[in-house]
Amino acid sequence: MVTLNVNGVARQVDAPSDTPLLYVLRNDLELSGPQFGCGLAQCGSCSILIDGKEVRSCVMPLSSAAGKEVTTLEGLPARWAKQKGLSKTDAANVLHPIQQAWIEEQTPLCGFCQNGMMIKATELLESNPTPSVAEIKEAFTNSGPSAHLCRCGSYSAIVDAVRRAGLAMAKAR
Amino acid sequence: MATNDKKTIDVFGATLTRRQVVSAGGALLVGFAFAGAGLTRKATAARSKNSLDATLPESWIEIHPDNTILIRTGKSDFGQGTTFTAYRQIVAEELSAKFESITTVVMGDTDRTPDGSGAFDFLGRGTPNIRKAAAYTYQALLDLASQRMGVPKNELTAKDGVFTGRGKSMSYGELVKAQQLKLTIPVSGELTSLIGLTVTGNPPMKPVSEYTIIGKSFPNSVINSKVAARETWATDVRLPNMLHARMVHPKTLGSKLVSAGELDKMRFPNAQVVVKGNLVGVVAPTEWEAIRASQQVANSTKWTEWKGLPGNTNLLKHLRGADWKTTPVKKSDKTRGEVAPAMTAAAKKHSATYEMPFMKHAPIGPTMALADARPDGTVYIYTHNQNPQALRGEIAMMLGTSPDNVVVRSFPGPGHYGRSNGGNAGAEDEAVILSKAVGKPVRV
Repeated sequence: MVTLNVNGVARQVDAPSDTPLLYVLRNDLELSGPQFGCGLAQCGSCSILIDGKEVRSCVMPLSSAAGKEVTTLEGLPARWAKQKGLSKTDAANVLHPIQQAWIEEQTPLCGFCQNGMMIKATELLESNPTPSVAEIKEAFTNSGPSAHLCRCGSYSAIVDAVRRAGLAMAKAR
Repeated sequence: MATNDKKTIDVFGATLTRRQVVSAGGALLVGFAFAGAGLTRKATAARSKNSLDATLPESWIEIHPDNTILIRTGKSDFGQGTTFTAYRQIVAEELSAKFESITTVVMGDTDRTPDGSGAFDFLGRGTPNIRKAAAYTYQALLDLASQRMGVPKNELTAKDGVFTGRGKSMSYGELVKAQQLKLTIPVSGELTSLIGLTVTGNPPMKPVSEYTIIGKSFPNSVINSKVAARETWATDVRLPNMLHARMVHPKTLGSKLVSAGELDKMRFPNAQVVVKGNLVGVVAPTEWEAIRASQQVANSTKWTEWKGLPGNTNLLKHLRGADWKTTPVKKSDKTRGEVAPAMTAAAKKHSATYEMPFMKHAPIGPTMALADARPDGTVYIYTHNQNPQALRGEIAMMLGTSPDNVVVRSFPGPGHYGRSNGGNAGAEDEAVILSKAVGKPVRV
């Protein structure tokens, strides 16, 4: 039995300790945000935040996540609400500004990779709310084990959405 | 509770049957009829089960008493967003209803949507099936409004889902309340063929000059659920008693199975190897056990050697060496004029060689499917496929059964970029075979 802290809630998981975290999140905890893309940490579809840092859950063993703070796409609204000190009622009705920007910019096509894109954007904007286009491209391309890939080609819409979200987050500060 | 005062009205080649109903519910249900001999006997028989039946109110469009509208299309969205934007605009336009009143889009479920075909050419031929279905529906509504309001059709105007004329007005929702209408629309083609069914006939369509909805931008409604992690993706579908599976594939196309590796039952007590012809799969109650067990089995599975592919470096040489002389040349419907005389007559000539690699129609995630082969012989497939009706036909053919017995339900997934427009994407057939073998739902 491993105890995980996922999106602010302690969850007990009965799975072999070498199980990749992605399978635990999807199959045992029934979360649908992180997706299986390549299974080799080479695309970013499965990204989650561990203690605020973007990691690829498809190659991270369950044991490595024990005792750490795991945030998935589902947990972004609560993460934002907590950072802003919003009431529970308000928190239930808001999306994270990043998710909101993704809707306003109509960023996704098939949307399969966008989980990782929004997770990466969260990591970036929490440390740098007003990144330049070059900084956005750097973060999405070179800061992780691989570039975050989108086969539909939504890259320019991702850059626009990150900038929009950054402005919204800075304004709410 | 229908009374017996049935009426039949001819609506531009479609047939409108109207039944007065006593209950307060009711909806305008637009079904369709099969015209002519376009359908094969097999496909016609398939309508008896798990397909829409012309005589039943399975529908393209439902107008509800609360003025909301539901539309159905056999087309699957693969990120184009067309079914959530353009199709809603087209239907709203032809109906003279609000875009926002179309609150539900049902798509790509073979037992719940009327037509077939792939996730291509959504608008390419100018008149998607759903547009004609909407145009027929509008004519049926107009007839009904004229009768209910006592106003001649040519004195009625429609806007935002409301008819007005001679100082009276009535919303579509009010019109269909306590009425059950069944409009049968003529169609041709074969449901499970690659291009599916086509709605025929020539209903009057709204003139382009009167468009108020088409030509504007509308947000793609499916983006919200995907961004908010509230979508049910194909990867999220689970069934009770379901087993996870991983296939053991040979390294290349033409290899045949010599012997399947033996499963280490000490390490993988809950896993099971399934062999059927050259197909080898490993099933287990958890995904991780299925993965690890399949890797262990793969290590000791033996295949015949096969070297039929030219490899990357020899690819272009290989293509040039092919027998192109006897390869049939087919002109596309876009072809204009003749190439050879035009080249000969050209004033300036430019000669060059252009080479392009093969482009893989590769999704960012693996093709996957969940199949449930049930004891009664029906097979349910939950997947992400660009041509669910064609897939249905192929699975039926593989099993030697009627499409009657196959249901494909569509869910969002990674874009396929054309890969599955021909039906099977690569996991559906395997999932069906494994499910049939173990008698439980299997997710590959």
